[in-house]
Amino acid sequence: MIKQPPKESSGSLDKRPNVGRQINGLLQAMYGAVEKEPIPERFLDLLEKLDAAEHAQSSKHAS
Amino acid sequence: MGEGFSFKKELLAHVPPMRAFAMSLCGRVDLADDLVQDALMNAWAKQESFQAGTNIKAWLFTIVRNLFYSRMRKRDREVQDTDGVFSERLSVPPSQNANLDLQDFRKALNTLPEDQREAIILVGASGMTYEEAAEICNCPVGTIKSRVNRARNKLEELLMVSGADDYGPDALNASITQRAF
Repeated sequence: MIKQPPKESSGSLDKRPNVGRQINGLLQAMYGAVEKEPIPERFLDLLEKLDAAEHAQSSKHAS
Repeated sequence: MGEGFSFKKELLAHVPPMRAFAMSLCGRVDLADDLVQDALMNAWAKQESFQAGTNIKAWLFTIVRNLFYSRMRKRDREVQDTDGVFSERLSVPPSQNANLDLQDFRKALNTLPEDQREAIILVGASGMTYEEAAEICNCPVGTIKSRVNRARNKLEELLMVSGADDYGPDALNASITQRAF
């Protein structure tokens, strides 16, 4: 599915377009600040472990 | 699942948005990261139920949200301070938004009822469509739309009161810039 950018479609935004844009900008700044952070080590480690455990298990089944 | 689809890679690619969404729910980075960790383990355990080609981001957000409400909600909201949502990540605002008063905005966001805050973050910040947000929150699309509208109206009202009393962009920026971060 193609991700759609948020639409400025509410009626109140049409009446006060600058405030509406300002709100979108602030929301995205807040959210984006977290989203742009590098992925913490703990999640890289976790997924490596989950993947390794699964591979170990499937090769055990195979032999 | 076909060759070339790596569930691990898919999950890894979605860790940043999951963290941002979890932060919006928990308000604290340590709790948010615990929530993301649980959600990743949960997703891994039930990866057979995920159908490749469908919307993995919405699927993962649903897991994050369900875990939050079933296990963490009460505790988190009790300990959340007034600066709450995102406070730890935003002591330094992104440079392109240096003129916006994020502190005031965050406080305004925290005054919203939980369901409205969640809706406006999903639609206004995470890039989810109304339909995806409805799926994640397990409610009708119309409900999401009305929550987003109510949230926007309330935020506009609060931002007007806090100094943005002119609709012109220059006046708005000036009045906000004069306020200390």
